[in-house]
Amino acid sequence: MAAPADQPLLRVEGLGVAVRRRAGALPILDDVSFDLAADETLAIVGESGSGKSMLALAITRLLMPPENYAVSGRVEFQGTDLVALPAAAMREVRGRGMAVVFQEALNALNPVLTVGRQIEETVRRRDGGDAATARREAIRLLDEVGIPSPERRLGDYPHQLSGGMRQRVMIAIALACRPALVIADEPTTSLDVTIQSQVLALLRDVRRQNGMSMIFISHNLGAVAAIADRVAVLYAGHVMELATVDELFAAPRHPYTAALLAATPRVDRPEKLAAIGGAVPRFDELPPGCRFAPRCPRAMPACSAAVPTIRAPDGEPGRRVRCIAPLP
Amino acid sequence: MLRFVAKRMMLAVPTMLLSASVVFFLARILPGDPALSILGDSASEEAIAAMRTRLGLDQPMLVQYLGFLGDLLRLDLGNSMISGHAVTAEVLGVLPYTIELTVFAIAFGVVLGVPIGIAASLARNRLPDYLSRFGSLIGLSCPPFFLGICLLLVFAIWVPLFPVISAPDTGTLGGRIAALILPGVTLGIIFLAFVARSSRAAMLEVLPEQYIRTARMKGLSERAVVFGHACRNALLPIVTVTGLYFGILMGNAVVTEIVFTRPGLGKLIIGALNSRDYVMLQGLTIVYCFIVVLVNLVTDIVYGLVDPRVKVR
Amino acid sequence: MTALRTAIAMVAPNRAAGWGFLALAAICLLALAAPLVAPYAPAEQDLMARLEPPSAQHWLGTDNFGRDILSRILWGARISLLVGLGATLVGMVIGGALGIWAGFKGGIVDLLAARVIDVLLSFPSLILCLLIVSLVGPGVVELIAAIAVSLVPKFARVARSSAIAISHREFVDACRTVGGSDLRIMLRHITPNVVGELAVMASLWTANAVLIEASLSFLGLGVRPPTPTLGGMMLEGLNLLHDAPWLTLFPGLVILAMVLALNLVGDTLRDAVDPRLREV
Repeated sequence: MAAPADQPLLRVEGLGVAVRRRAGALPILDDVSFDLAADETLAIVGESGSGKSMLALAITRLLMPPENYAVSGRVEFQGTDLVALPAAAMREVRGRGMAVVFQEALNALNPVLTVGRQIEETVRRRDGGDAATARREAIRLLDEVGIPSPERRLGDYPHQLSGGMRQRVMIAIALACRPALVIADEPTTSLDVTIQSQVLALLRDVRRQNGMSMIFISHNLGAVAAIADRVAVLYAGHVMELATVDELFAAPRHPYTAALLAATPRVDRPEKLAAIGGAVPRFDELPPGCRFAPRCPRAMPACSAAVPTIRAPDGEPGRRVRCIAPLP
Repeated sequence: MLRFVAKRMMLAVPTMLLSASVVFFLARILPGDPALSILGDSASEEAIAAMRTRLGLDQPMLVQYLGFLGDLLRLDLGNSMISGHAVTAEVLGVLPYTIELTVFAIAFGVVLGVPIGIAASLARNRLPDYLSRFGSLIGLSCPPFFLGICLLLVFAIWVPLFPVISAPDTGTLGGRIAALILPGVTLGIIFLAFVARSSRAAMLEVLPEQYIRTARMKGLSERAVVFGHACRNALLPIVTVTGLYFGILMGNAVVTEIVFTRPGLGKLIIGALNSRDYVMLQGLTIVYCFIVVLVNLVTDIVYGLVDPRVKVR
Repeated sequence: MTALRTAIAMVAPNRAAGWGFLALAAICLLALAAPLVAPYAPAEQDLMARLEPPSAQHWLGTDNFGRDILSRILWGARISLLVGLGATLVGMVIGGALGIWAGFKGGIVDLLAARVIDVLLSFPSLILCLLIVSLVGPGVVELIAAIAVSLVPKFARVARSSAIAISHREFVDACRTVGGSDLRIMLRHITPNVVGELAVMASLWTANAVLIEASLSFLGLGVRPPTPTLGGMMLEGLNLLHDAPWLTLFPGLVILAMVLALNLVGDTLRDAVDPRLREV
């Protein structure tokens, strides 16, 4: 079921997600589009409340309960549109084609089942096979994610492990699916800083060794710079800018990206940090037109007239920016 | 493991002693002279004094209490004032009937209530959920004796399938079971309502958890997600709430035994009430407390064994 | 009190709760107005009309003394509500005060209180009430006292745990540093924050108290005849179940309706206050 060479592994086109409420549907993600090639890492960056995690759940169709969400647009994975896929076929895609590394492994792992059981069930769900094979595979996976004396850890419960260990177990579960695409949703936010970089390095290595593609969701631009090939900047449910890591860090085109970069400490440019004034708008109080306009230093009346379309800035066909007056 | 069990048991002993002491003092500080109420207002001074001596009420409170504690440690709850038999012997004589009644009711409630609660939680805010919620509410609001009388009327009087008087001592196993069904179902339906409601609430608390999402992410079937992940976590608290509910279950068992004229602790305690047998009454109250404490001890230990998060050592 | 206000605001859109409130109000009104609306005096005997099934003269039939069942039910419901509400109120005040005191004081007082609450909770309510009523005798006040005693540890437990939570908040410390006395802090700051939760529990436990009163009178320990009680009426009708089932069934249905209405109201209040259980 491998995708033809000219086709990307994942193509998201005009994806929209709205929460159904008694008072009517509340749109969260709107017109989200991007491609992801095989063996590529795309970072989704944004502040909390930008809709990053919902994007991961929308792609994997893990928004629960499903009837509370209205999903529109296309999510084409290996040539199949996932949005319209029947539930049974979607289960085949999950746990085989794609897997998720959730944030806060303490909550994402079942507290009353052993680590071994949680990995083994993933292995057996994918490959079938007997308990002994699954157990050997679980030990191999724990070893691969760098857990010492893995056969002894199999009988442990999540609360008996450290935070870093738990996140490694979470990664092992994702690897057990042997997916073509792994989505890492803020995999390091709940960890100590020293552990963060270890887990980050682990993710980068296992991705490379297994030839997987990765969507790396984060609000940490430093981590993004270390791990991603391309970046999509998400703000209040809109993709504001899409570019390669190098392009984006060298010359941001969207004022929001620029503000985000200015607010991030960098080793190469030890200048003063500039916090972005104001806060991300609530989804039930979205401004008309460009969603960043109320906080944008370069805003003009035209910005609030209509939502800008996302387009390639002049002379850069590979990039996308959602701004009527992109930065030079 | 053994130390965990032993520690819990050690904690239960003072609770039992304290609850027995509460009964002892309650019976002595509350207004009303047992001797007077046994003999009636027309009794002579001498008769009342003699009765007070017989009950040991003429001795100083502390002496009475120490004697009571000493007897308690030898599992001696005194002798019935009516029959003269030891209270413990009378209790042990009818205990099997009450145990078989409550065990039947608990099994009935769990076997039917847990699946109903789980099904309701999965069909949240749809017809099966509304039906089971409404049913549970009615079950929890129904006086057990009213339910018992209704069942008696339908299945013993109008359609005589079961005996009106539940006499387990017919000598045959079939007779014993026939005598158990109606009272057991009465007690069981009310417990079922409680179990269904608690299981539904527990499931609704577990289903939005992130590890359920992880299980779905693995591509597991909905069956495997619900039974392999959600139920395991949801059913743990059921063990504890059943322990907490047990006091109400025992109270319901008393009236159920009365409705079906069935031997057991309930009939014994009502008999003691009507014949003003204070020794028996005090002893039975203590027995009821001990049963509740022991059941809570068992649920505590079971919970400790099935939930890996409880430190067993 | 905010909890209660939220609760009342939440109730309006909920249909089942609306029925509960309506039914409860109707039962309360009918019971209160029993002297006015009851077609007969509750003890009025008519030996010419004994054990009559429901008819136009006697809507719910008559008992073996020819007394009107409907009138007796209305009077009996008065007793049920009086005892149920009275016992819950007394239990809430005493248990709440003890719980707040223990939770606020902390230390050895709290440790002892927690232990005593544990012990008292190990008494099955009905058995404890049986013991107390058998000692102090039956009567409205005695019943209220007995049921209140069984409710005190339950209220104390709830009040204690929320008092502990509130005692650790900054404003309590702030009040202490400016020299507020313990009593003042407990009355002015802790109590208002605990009362909402207690009121919600009270509405649920009133249902339980009504059930216990009914059970006690069914066991012959209720308010003495000739005062009619619902449980007592069922006990009297039990021997005539075969020939005159209405003697037993109608009072039973009324107990069921009363407790159901109380539970509906209590559930709604609890769901409104406990956001975890609130409907999406």
